[in-house]
Amino acid sequence: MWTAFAGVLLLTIVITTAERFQLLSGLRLSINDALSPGRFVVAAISGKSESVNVPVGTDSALAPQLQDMEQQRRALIIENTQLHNRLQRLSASKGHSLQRVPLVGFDVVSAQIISHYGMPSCLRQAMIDAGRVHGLRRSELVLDATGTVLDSGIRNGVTDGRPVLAGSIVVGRIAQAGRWVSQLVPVTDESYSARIQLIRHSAGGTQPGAEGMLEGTGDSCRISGIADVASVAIGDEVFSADISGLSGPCLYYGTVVTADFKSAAGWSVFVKPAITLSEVDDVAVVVPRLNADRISGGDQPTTVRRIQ
Amino acid sequence: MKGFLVIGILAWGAMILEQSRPAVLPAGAVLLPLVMISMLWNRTAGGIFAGGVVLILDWIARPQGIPLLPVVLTFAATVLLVRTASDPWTGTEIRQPQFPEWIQPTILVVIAILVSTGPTIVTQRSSLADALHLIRSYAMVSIPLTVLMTGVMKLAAEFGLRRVS
Repeated sequence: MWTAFAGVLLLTIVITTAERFQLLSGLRLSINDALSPGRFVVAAISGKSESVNVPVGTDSALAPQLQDMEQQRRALIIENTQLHNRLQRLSASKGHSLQRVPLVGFDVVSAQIISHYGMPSCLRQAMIDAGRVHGLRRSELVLDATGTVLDSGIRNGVTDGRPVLAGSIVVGRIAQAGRWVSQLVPVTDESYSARIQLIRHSAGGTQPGAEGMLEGTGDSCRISGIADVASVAIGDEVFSADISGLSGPCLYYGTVVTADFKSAAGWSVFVKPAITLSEVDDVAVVVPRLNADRISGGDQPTTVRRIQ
Repeated sequence: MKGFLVIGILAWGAMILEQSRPAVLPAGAVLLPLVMISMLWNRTAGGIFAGGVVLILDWIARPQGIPLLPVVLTFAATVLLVRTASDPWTGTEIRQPQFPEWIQPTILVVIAILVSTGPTIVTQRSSLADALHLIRSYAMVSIPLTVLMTGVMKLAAEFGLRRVS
């Protein structure tokens, strides 16, 4: 009997050590992958019985509406800033507009977080129920899909058949994609980094601010690489500058909570993420897709249009 | 070997159920009673080891803090099952007090619930009401299931489907 206990104790020590050196991610993904066929069967049998009916008129019922309005507000900020930039470019180019169909578009794959690993230090990852069979790959961005704006975009294909992504909150990134499940790291993880752009509200409207690199610190995020001559203020909002190096819709990260400038070290900027992993259940993974129009119709030369 | 396979399949099913219905079945609520019963089914070292390995695999799949459950529960099960202890100096056997067999799985499940919820309650500094709510969410599923499976275990012994030492 005691030999069995000693064996379990030894195995526990071995796996704890392996976890410390991050050696168990592959095995974790394999075990969760092995559970997936059974989950599909349960999901198929139970259908939509999991959905929760929220009573109308309560705070819980208003929360999704509030989230939708908040996303619309962020989308409007982005649109406003983009229009401002376009106006400046048009003024500079004396009325010539450059219009081209982007080579790459973005689709989203909806998924649910099936397990939160919310305990301290190294264990801050989560597993989602979508994997390589759904077209996911490593390092793709994961958005919060709690509200209905993104969801309705996915279902109805708002604006030229593409989902509405602008202003959606970035939750993290796919760290490892299994067959049916994937592991995601949150934006606060030390391994997370992304190019961002600050947007500032002023009396003259929203203005694009400095660009930099957002990096996870464990509990929050910091921005590095901001030019010394740029200006940063508390309350500036942080949006993505690109999606995995491709130009695309601006996604939201959070708000600047600390901005100190030291002459020797430059800017020290910390960001409070808009959402934490523990608050999210439904997510959407952004998957880049080649634009069919550009492929089927051939790569048309850039059209130059004179603005009347 | 057949026993290990059965434990593996049942644990797989329990984890699927827990992952599919997290709102109703907290992680471990079904698996823990199952593992406890599997440890006590044949009352052998193999059963305890198999149960411990299932708990370790569960921790790998769904890590929560440090893996306390496998160590604490295999230790508790071993203590419950070892009927006698030998005095290393005199060599005489000392008979240890024993809990009745029908209550042993429930004792282990109560320990398991406390070990599962304890770190969460401590690290999140939950209020008493929240802590009780968390413990209740486990107990509401685990304890009735344990009682049911203890009944099945006793019946299996009565019908000769289980070896009783």
